[in-house]
Amino acid sequence: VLDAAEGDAVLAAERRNPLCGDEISLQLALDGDTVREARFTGQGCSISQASASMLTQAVRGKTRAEAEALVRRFVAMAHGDAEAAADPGMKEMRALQGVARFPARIRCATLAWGALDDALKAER
Amino acid sequence: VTSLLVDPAPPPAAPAGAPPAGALAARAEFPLLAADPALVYLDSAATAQKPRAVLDALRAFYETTNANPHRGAYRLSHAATEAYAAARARVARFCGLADADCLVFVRGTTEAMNLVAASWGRAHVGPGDEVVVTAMDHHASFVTWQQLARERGALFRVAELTADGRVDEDHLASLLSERTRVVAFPHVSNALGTVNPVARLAGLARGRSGGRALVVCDGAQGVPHMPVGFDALAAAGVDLYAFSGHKVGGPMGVGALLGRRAVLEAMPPWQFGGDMISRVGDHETTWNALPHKFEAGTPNVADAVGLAAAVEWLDALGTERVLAHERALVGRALEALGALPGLTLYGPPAELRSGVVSFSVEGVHPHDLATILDERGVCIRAGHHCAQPLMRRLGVPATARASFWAYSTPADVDALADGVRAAQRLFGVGG
Repeated sequence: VLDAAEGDAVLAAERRNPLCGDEISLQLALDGDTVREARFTGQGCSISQASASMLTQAVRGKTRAEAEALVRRFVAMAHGDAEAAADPGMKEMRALQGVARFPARIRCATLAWGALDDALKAER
Repeated sequence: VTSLLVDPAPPPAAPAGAPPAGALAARAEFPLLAADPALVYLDSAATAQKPRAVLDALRAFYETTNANPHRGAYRLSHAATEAYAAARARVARFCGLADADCLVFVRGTTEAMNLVAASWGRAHVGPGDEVVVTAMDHHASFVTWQQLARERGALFRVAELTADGRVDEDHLASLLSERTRVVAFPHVSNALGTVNPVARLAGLARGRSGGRALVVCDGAQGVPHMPVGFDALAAAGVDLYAFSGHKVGGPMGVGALLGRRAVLEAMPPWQFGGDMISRVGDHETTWNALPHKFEAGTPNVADAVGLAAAVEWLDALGTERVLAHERALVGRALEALGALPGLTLYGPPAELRSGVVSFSVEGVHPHDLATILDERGVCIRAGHHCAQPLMRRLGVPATARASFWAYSTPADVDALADGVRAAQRLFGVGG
């Protein structure tokens, strides 16, 4: 359950991978411009679940703009961007950089990040 | 920071020289397989690798016979027309269809199902009618009929399966009545490999509906793996039967819809354009004869020629032998995988299947399993197999599926089982 405080804006989005049936449902609680809390539910492979889990850790405390930048950074890394992969700010998310060598798995890693992007855009 | 994905392992050493033992068709006949001796291709239910004879036929058509058929008065166009007609006759003969004009070339099974729903369905299904499919239908059939039923205000009903993955015939019978307008079922389940008793199901549908239901059989997983005698099936009650060429070793983008003449004659065209017309007035048009009524626009002649080469090749090999070969491999796979801890195998016993083994590994998502197997050169399908209604009933979002064809070998099965064990070790499951 999302731990939203009184007055938080709650944003949500879902993404599915129609090829493999993976699903991610993401909820964000925003205190003003800052992500207070993020939770996901869903089912899928180890990569999609690990990526979603890291996302919810990474996005906490970020402003919207920072969260959007993180989406771009992560997606770039998943597609093989060496600079993004070397960025210490990417922390444990760098463990997923290997998907770039597995084109069929990039979608698994980026599924939750697509949902984050949708959630951030949906409210505008 | 450690990677969640292991580094690619070197592929297992290829056996030197000779094609692998235990294949029905030599690997050397398939250029893609011959070029990569270490490749273990276990996704033939998705698409088959192509015999050299097919690739040669495609090339020969474009190099010697290419012209637009049914149009030009010149010899080359005539040759293309003849090649197209000969391809139709060859494929019809392979399918046990005596009247080749009752074979409509389409893009594949999916297009055939859409053709039937758009043509017969819109003309004959209305409010209060019922459309029946099975829980093992591929989305190409399931979704097409579901949407037709919604559009026409008809009731859409799904026949359930038995615990071992066969159509529950009692349940199917209970859904059928004189209100039933369409009954669709697959010849073989693409996700489970179950071979359905087509004649019996068709007879049930025809009988229970008082002959009012259109009986449509999705043969995508039937034609490549076993003898199909369409005229005999039609006598038992099948009205229409469809399959995809690329699963038979033919090119992608061609397939066939086979039908009883009376049914096809009564169906309105579904696409309009060149070739399918007889006479075009300012305000009305009459239609060309079968099969052209359903083939608007320049047909896919080259791929039809390629498909004819594929069935020629397969006929020489013998579809009876293909089925027996696949069943032996399924038996080996069920035994090898069944011996591993934490494996769930779906579907009926080997003697009720074609060459499909669907399974899940406790603690290893099918998608992860497929990647780990891929690192070892083993290609399997992981996912819902375009059968989400079936996956829901199995209680899983996805399964892993290995599927066989004439070139598959016992060694391929062993590579699969070894790979599954390796995946279990990597994930620390299975003891």
